[in-house]
Amino acid sequence: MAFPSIYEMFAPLTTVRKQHFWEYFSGATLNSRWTTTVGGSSIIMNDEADGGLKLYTTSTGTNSNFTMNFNNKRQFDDNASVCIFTVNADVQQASTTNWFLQVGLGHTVGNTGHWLSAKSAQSYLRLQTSQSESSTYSADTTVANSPVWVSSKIQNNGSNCELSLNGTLSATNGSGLQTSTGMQPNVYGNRGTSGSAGSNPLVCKLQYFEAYNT
Amino acid sequence: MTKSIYDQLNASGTVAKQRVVETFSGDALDTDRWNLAHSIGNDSNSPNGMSDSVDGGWYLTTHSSNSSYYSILNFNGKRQYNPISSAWIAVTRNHTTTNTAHYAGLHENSYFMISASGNETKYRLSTRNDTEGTGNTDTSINSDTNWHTWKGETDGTTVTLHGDGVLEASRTGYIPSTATGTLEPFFQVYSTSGGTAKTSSIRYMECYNT
Repeated sequence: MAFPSIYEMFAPLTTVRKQHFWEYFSGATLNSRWTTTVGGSSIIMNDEADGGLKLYTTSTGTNSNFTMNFNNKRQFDDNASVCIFTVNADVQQASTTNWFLQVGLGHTVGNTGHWLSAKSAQSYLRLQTSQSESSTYSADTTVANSPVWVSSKIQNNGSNCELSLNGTLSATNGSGLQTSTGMQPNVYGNRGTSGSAGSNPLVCKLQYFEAYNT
Repeated sequence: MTKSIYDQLNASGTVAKQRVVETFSGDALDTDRWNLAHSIGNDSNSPNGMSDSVDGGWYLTTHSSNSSYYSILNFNGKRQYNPISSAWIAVTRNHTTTNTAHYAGLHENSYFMISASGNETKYRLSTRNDTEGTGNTDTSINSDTNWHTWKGETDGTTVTLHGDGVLEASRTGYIPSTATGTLEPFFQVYSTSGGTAKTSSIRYMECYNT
C-alpha cells in the first residue's frame, strides 16, 4: 500500500489541495456534473470495450454539432492548470469544410480556450489557443488527425500553453492565449458541409478527462 | 508502476473498505450521492451551488439572518463509516468568522469533526458520544476565512485532528463508539445568532474506513 488516501497520492496534507477532478466516462449514463447540448447529434455511453463516452452527429445537416462543459462554472485557472484526456476523434478531415473538434479547457465553448484541435484540411492534430474566436493554431504535431485513441495533456503556464500527445511535448503556443478569467472543460464538435464525407458522422470518443490547478 | 488505484490504497491481499472521494467539480452538486437539507425552507431559500471561480468548489448559505438556521450536506442517513475505525479529509472554507458555525466530518448523533463555532477564536476538534457527552479541543489555527485541509481520524480510543498537515488536537473523551452507531459524511453551516446569512465552501472530501 503506497498511500492511505487519494488526497495523499497527489500532495501531502501540508498542501491545501486545489480544484481537481477526474472522470472515467464509465457507467449507464453520463455523470450529472456535465452540461451538454446537441444539434443533430447524440451523446451516449458507448457499449463496447474501451468505448467510454461517444459524442457523434446524427444528421447530415450543415453544422450539426454537440458541446459538453460545466455550464460556465469556471473552477480552473487559465494561467496555472492542466487537463488530461484520452480522445478518439473521427473528423473526416479530407475534403470537408468546417468540420472540427475542440477538446480541452476554456472560458467559453467554441470561443475562448485552449484546445486540442482536429479539423477539416488538417492532417495532423494541433494545439488551438483562442480568445474571443481569435485563434492561433500551432504547427502540425506528428500525430495524425485520424480515429485512433490519443492521450492528450494541455498545460496552461500563463506565458504559454503546451500540448503533449502520447507523452511527448508536441506543440507550444505563446499567442492567442485566453485572457478571460477562469476555465471549464470544453468539448465542441461541429460537422460543417458534408462534402466527400457523405453521410459519415463526426465522432468524438472520450475515455477519461482530468483537470487540476497547479 | 502500479496500474490500479486499488493497489495504491490497499496492501496486497487486503479487502478494501468503504471509501468515498468527492471533488466538488462540475456544473452542479452530485445529488445521486449527496442529500442537501435545511432547518427551514428549501434549496432556493438557501443559496448553494458550484462556485463560478477558480478553486471555488461548492458553497452553501444559510436560509436567512435568523438565529439557529442551518443547512447541511450528508448521505441522507446512509451510515457506511465505522465509529471506531475511520478517517475523513476535507478542504473547506468558512466565509465569516462571527456568529457562524462551520462543521465538517463524520457524524450521526455522535461525531468527530472540525468546527468553527460562534465567535470562538480558534478552529476546534469537536467530538460527541451520544450516550456520554460532548467535548471540544482548540487547535492553534485561528478561525479565519482561508481554505484549510482537515483530517480527522479515530481508532476508537483516540480521535486526532490534523490541520494543514500538522497534528493540532486529539481527544479520548466523548468520542464515537460502537454502541453509538455508524457514521455518515457531513458538511454544515449554521447561523448562531443572526446578522447576515452565513456561507461555507468545500472543494474536497474523502472518507474511509481503516
